Amino acid sequence: MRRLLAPARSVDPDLRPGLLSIACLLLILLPCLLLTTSLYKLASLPFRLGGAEGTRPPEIPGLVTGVEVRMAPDGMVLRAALRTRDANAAAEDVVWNETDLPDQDGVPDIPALQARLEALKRIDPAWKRVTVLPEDPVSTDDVVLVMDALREGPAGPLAEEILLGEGSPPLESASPPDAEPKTSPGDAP
Amino acid sequence: MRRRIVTRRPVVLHHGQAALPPLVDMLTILLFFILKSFSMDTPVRPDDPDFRLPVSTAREYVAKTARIDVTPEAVYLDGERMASSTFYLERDDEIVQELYDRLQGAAPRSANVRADGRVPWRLLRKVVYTTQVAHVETLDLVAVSRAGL
Repeated sequence: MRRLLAPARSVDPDLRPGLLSIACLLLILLPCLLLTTSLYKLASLPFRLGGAEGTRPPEIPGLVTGVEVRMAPDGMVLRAALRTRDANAAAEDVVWNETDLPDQDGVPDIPALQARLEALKRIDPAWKRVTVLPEDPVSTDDVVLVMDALREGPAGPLAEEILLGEGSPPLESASPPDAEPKTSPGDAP
Repeated sequence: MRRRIVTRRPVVLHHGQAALPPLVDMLTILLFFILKSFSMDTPVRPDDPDFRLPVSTAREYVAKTARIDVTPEAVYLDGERMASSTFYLERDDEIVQELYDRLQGAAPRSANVRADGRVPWRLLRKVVYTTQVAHVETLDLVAVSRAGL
């Protein structure tokens, strides 16, 4: 007897049409993206100026009250001010620790700098401000390299706020513009 | 006669069927990689092939604002040449006067400093001080992100 309601034969669905359409879509999308994308991506490094006291919020007082990285042509000097734990000490009594970090093969010793900053972060997790003091022969490349190292280390974020330079003349007392502006040579309009 | 209970269905691979899933996987990975590093940033100073921004690990977005370009040859504001770099490198002036005058007129609240990686800090400091004296409140240093292609 022939079964009228015979179960349908199970046939494996053919995935090819679906996969082909996805592959085609991707093959259209990828060249479009490659054509519109730029080869490099720009990034912004926010910073504040070291001297502009009135333009930045006060730092939260903690055990680490100040950190400076002085960049010289032959290396860096890390200076950290730590509040003394002496019960008789005043709140403003701090001890400055200074560490020389000479260049390694002409390159700033970033791992050593980050290791010391991580130690400071362990002492005072609230610490977040560092002042970078480059000296004149230092190039912008090295300044950016050190700024990157200060922002994030292998173990996580380090300094959130970077101050650059020792500061400029105060805003009010800055040299006023000359009545007759100077023009640098070769700047003919 | 012994009946086979479990019959093996013949596996028929159509031509090209086996290669499709890896192809789609590969294209999907490529798509995500390109989307992750997608950027529409225009080249900085395309007319100056020697200009080279420093490279950074930062990923912060660069806002559209006043552009101060500092090259070993000159200082520019929004593409317009302001002053000679060598002139201010040799002088003791802390302020780049021409830039100061123009910033006073334009009065931007923020600016992006796009300095060539070879520019010495001595010149960059003068440019930064000038912007501070001209009451530019927010300053960003622009670099090429390592996250790019």
